[in-house]
Amino acid sequence: MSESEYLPSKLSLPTYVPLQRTLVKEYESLFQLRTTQNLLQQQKKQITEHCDNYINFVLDNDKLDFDENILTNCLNTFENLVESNNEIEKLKSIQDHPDIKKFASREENDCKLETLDSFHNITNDQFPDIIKQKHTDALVQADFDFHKFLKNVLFVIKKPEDQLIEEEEDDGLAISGGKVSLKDPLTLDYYREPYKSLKCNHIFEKSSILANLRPNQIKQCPIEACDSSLSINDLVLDKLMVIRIRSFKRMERKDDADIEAVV
Amino acid sequence: MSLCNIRLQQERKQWRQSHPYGFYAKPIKDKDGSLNLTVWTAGIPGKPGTKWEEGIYPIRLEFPLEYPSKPPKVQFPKNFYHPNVYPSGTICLSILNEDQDWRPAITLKQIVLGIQELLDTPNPDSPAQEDAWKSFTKDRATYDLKVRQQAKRYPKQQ
Ligand SMILES: [Zn+2]
Repeated sequence: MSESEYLPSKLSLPTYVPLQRTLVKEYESLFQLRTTQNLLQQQKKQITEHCDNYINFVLDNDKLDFDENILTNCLNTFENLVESNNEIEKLKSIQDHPDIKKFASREENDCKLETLDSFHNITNDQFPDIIKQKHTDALVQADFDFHKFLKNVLFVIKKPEDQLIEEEEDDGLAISGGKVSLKDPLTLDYYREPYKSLKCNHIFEKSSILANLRPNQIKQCPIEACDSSLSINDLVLDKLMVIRIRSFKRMERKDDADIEAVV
Repeated sequence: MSLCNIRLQQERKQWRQSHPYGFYAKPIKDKDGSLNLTVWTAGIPGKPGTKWEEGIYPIRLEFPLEYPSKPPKVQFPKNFYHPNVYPSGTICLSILNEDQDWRPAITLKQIVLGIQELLDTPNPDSPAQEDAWKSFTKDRATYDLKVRQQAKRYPKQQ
C-alpha cells in the first residue's frame, strides 16, 4: 500500500510545528547545531568538487599552469571547515556531559555589580576538563584522502621529482630526500598514462602493463624483488604522477626557454 | 612501435647517457648497415682485485619479441671457462631465467653487473659445464690458472 492511500488528499500542514514550551530551548540548540553542521558538510563537499574540477581542468588544458594560490586556498578552506566541524562535535559531546551539568548548576551569585568580585575568583582551573580538551574527530576516509592528495599536489607542482615527505611511515620513520622516477620501468620512457598498483604502489605506463597483463590474468609484479601478484583490477590511474610529469615537463620547457633567452 | 622496440631504444639511449665503468654494449649492425636492436654485443670487465681482472669478456644478448616480458638470451663465446656457463656459452644465472628471478623491470645495466658479479662468485650448486665446475670444486689451483689464462685471451686494451 502506498503512502498516498493513507493520507487525505487535501492535507495541508501548519506553518509551524507546535512545541512544548519546556522543549523549545533544547530543540533550538539541537536544530542549530545540526543545520550548521549540514552546511559545513555541504561546503566541504563543494570545496572538494571545486578543487577536483580545477585540477582536471588544468590537466585537460595543456597551456595552463597550476596556480599555487588557488590550491593553497582550497587547502586552507578545507582545513578551516574541518576545524569548525570539530568545534561543533565538541559542543555536541559536552552538552550532556555530567561534569558540565554539575558545573552549570553550581551555586553562584547572580551577576550584579555588587557580586562581581566573586566572579573574578573563578579561574580556568575550575572548568571541567572536557571544555579545555581539544576535540579532533578522525576524518572520514574520503576527507582524509582528499586532504592528503591536495597537500601532495602542492608539493609535486614545485618539486616534481622529489619523494613526498611522509609524516609518519608505517615503521615510524620519516623519509625524505629521495628522487622519484618519472619513467615507466618497462619502457624506460616518461609516463603518459601512469597506472599504480594498489597492492604494492609500483607504477607503470598503461600500455606497457597492459601488454604484460592480459584480462583475468594474475601475474607477479614486473619489479624485481616485489612479492605482489597483480591483475588489471589492481591498477588505478595515478593522478599525482600525471601532475608530476606535467609539472616536470613545464619546468624543463621553461629551462630551455631561459637558456635560449640567454643565448 | 612494439613495447620491445621502445624499451630497447630507451635502453640504448640510457646506456649512451651513462653506463658502468669499463663496460661496453651496443646493438649489432645488419648487413645493410642498419642497427639491429634485438641483438647486442657487450663486454664485461673482470672486477679489479680478482683473477678475472685482466680481461674484458665478450657477451652476445638476443632479445626475444616478448622482451621485456621474457629475458634476453645471454651467451659468452663457445667453451667459455666458468662453472655456470654451458659449453654453448649460455649463462646460467637466475635473473636471466624467466622461470626464476627475471622481471621485466631488470635493465641492461643490471644484467651486465649481475654477470660481472657471477664471474668471480660462481654458484657451485648449478654446474653448467664439467671442466670448470670440477676444477672449481676440487682443484682450485688448476681453476685459478685456467681463469688467468683465459683472461689473457680477452685483454682489456683492444
Ligand atoms: Zn610491485
